[in-house]
Amino acid sequence: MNHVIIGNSAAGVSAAETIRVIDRSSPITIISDELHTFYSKSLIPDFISGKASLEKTYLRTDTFYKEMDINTLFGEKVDKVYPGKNTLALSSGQEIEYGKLLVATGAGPRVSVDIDTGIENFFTARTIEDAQAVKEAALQARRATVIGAGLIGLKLAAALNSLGLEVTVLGKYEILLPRVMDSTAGEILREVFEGNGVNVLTGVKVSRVSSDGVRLSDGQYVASDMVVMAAGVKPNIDMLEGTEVEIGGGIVADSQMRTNLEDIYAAGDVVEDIDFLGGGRRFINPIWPKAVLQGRIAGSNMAGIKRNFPGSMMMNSVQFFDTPLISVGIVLHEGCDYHEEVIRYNKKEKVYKKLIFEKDRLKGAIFLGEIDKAGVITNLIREQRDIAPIKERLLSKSFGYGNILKVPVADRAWIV
Amino acid sequence: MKEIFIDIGRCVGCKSCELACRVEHSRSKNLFAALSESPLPRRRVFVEYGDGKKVPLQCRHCCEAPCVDACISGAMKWDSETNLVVHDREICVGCWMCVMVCPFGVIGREKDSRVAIKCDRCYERDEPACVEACPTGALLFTTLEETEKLRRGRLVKAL
Repeated sequence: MNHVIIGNSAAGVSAAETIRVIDRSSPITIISDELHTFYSKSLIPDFISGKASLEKTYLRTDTFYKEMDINTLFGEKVDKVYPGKNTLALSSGQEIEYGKLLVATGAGPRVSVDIDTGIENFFTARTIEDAQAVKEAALQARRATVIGAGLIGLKLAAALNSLGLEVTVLGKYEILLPRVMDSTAGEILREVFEGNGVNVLTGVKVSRVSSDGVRLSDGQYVASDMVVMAAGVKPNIDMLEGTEVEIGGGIVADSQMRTNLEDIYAAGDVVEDIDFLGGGRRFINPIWPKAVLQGRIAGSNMAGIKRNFPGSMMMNSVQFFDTPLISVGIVLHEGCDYHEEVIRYNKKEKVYKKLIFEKDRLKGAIFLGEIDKAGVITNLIREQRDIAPIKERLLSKSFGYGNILKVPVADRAWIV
Repeated sequence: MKEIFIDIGRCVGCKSCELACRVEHSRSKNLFAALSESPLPRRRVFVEYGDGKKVPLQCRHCCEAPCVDACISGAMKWDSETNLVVHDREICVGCWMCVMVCPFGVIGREKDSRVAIKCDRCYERDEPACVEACPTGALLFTTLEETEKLRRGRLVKAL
């Protein structure tokens, strides 16, 4: 079986490694329109701030592909996939045959604002090349504007702030991190940013980006020397246009990460997931751990060993300045029969912890300022365990794994 | 292959394991000298209390570990030679993705240097410090086969 993978990031590489472990001999080819070896897209803000060097963003050694016997076609763009013939065409004109194809092309930045034509100080920051451009521009600039107050936008704002720029963040919604925080946490976060010298403008709409600033729809003008856009992503699926592959908000895949076509699989940010916590919500869930796992599941199935993806749920973790935060599952639940318990809230210390329940199941959690042992809660959400017997303890300060340990056969068993 | 096993009924919560872990991960490796180190050496094993039981818990060195999958910097890795989940503090950027996904809650944070911190199973020692320090035999460093033998023996005795 000849395996071809489009995409050289978390999902693509994870799939290739999985296939290689199962199958020592079948050819594997990774195609990427980027020239770099496998690097961490999640480290882009750290690369811009200088916390991570280019070398540090690389996640495998120079000899990785050779050692794994993986063919690479880097700097090659896939123009079109021909599922009927099991081939794909590169923009260089070359035609590649595949036995099984994995589309792990990720998601690119969504640019949804009007921009003056020909301006050179407008950027996105999805690839390391983009990031290099941002970094260079930041050396010359004094004021930077970031469009988007989601995770990436705020990470970029913090990175540019650390370089000494005067940074303004523009958010469409009233709160920061609208998808992962509630208004209380959002307010604390706003103070964190403002306290560190970042201007935060929320509830604003951008009407036009020009070379010397950003015009907002309410007439305000934010003067800036550079503008970075990080407001949402869209899956990279151009090469599938005109094919039978089912597309929704992203590529639709089953639990084996297979598309509606026999030989085509998809994994990572390019996939439209269904929130397994309920509500049937379909969404792009562009997070690193999910991409790695979907890549592994796809790779395993491509190599003939059946495995199922357990389901996708929102989660993210980040530290802004001195404040760490973790958000897991469904944290905004308007219209759902959920209830929530605030475990700790101290505005001055910038600490906020909240759990969200639907009857006796945990559906979501917000940890801000204090994040220790968050993983125990994440796992309870992932397993959708009945937490009725431990609910009181869940809310205590000393909650940990000991509280949920199932001890089989009295005290006589062991755990590994 | 030897692993750390926990005999849950035996832990009395004395925290000797926590202390030994701190000393082992201090610069001086001596209790009295370690007390004056700054920052104070941190523990990688945690005595948890729950449901009337005490459990000394450290990294389980999972297969397909969630922390390895979640790590965005490549600091958390599976070492196939030692079968350990190893963490490289030089590469860690302190994003806390590992803290978010560890189902055992045993990955800590060094807040000042902003790196994650976890059990390295004392890879330089024959026996991990926590196991050596445990006075009640609640922590064992042995193979799965030996553990199973012991467990079955106990079950038979209890019949």
